[in-house]
Amino acid sequence: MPSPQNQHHIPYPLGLHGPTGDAVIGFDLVSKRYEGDHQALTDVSFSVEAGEMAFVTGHSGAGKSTLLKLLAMIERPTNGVVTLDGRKLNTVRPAEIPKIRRKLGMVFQDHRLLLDRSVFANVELPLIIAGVSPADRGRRVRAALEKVGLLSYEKQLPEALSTGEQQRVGIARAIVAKPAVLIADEPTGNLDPQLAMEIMGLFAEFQAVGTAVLVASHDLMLIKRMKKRVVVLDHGKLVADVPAMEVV
Amino acid sequence: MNAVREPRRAPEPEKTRRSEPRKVGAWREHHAWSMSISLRRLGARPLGTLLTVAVMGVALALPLTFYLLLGNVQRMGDALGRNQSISAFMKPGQNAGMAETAASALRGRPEVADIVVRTPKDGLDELAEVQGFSGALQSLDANPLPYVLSVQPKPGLSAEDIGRLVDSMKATPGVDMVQDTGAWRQRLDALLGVGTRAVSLLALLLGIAALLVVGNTIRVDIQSRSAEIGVLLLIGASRPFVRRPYLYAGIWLGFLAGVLAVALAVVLELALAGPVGRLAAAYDGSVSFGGLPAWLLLSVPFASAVLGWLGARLVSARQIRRAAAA
Repeated sequence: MPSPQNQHHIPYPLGLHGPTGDAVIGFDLVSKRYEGDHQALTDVSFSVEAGEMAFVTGHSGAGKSTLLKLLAMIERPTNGVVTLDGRKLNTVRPAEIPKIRRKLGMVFQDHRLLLDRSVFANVELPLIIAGVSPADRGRRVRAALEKVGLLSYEKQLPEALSTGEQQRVGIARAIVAKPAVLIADEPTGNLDPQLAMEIMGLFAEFQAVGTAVLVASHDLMLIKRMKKRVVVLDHGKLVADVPAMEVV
Repeated sequence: MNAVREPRRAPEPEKTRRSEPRKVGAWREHHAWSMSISLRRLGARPLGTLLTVAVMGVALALPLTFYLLLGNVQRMGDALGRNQSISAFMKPGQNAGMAETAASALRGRPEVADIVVRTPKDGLDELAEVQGFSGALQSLDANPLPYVLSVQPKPGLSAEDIGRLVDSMKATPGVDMVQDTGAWRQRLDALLGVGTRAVSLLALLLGIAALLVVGNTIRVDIQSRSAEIGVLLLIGASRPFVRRPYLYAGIWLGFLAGVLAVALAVVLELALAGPVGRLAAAYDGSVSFGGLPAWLLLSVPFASAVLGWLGARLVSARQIRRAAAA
């Protein structure tokens, strides 16, 4: 397992390797400078293909969350090109952002569930937004809840669930519309190791059916156990990109 | 020989480019969801909803009530004004033939409904009926009263028409003096004009107040749901999608307030019907109570719904932008 200080494996020269033709997620020489002169990312380049799962790790302030915010179009890059499913996000007009976001499933550390709606209603939201008919919605929500093991909780309010269960509701909401890409920002931050592994197991299942999964996490133990590709950031720079088979 | 591995493809996401029937279906689903979620939200805070509807309803009932009162004053004026005639006093020494000639000349005018020629004897008899006059009249050597033409104008004449008729009566040969006993009606019409304008302005002001009440309710609702709005935008909702339930909430609030305003107006109408009925009886039944027209009662809830929608529209875009930025 590499550390930010140990730049022992960089599979391609930084800045020269842009997203490939099959890449679902692409960062090409991406930099992000916030107001107040804070440089969050500097010339970051890597890509994630369909059916690939990758961790983005690094210390606090390394730029992990900024990376995901660029993908979710919460922020725009100062330089470079971010691509999602072949679409350059730099040139997306504000009115097109919702359509692009529907290609993404997002899982947050704090779940961001609507506490006054039932588990079913929370998971149903992306399908309502996509204009899916009520009959299809019911079928697909139940399938997603079954996938995360919460079918019997569909009528409960999120507050009645444990933290781990709430996180699984968040995952069901992220995957219910069959997104091309699943991104997660510290999804296991509030969970015990066993629950964290269960959640990661779910992500690995989505990867297995062709979804590109990008998880920001600083939990090195968990990353080691998952044996997936690891992208390491340090002070906004990509310092290592370790293929799954080399993670030890 | 190595087997060629089929590259794995990402699962097909929800289509972003939709066919027309699917677009219509999605549009219908969005509106159905927005309608139901807005109703559920209003139902989830019944006291707040009730208060907003009550404030709006009372505000809208006020101009309706004034409109009802004005309409009835107008009807009363019309009923009483029907019997008001204009009197032309002939010059002293004019005989019956001259009075009849003057009456014939005036009968040809379009403003005139009827003319009655009252002789000096008719006048003297009327005076004699007035208590205390009979003794004084017996002491007269001759009848000093002139012929009088009692002209009944056609109903619905304007003040200008009446003025023209009075002028023509004054200009009729043999006429000494004209007395317009219907002048009070002109003053009443002028007062009703002022009242109508005041009610219109009041309705406008109270309409704006109702709009602001809805706007403020929606603004507070959006503020309290800023976290939810943030989540919806992150998972792919467009701003119009996020905004739509709030617009529907404005429509429901406006519609319910309109229904309440109509109910209040009808209650007031029923409360006024009794006293006005008794007043009508005092005028030999020539005055009757008139309620609010059905078209008005039916249109108020819908007009109020439009008002609610406008109020919600006024604040929602800006508030959602703020919530999204937060």
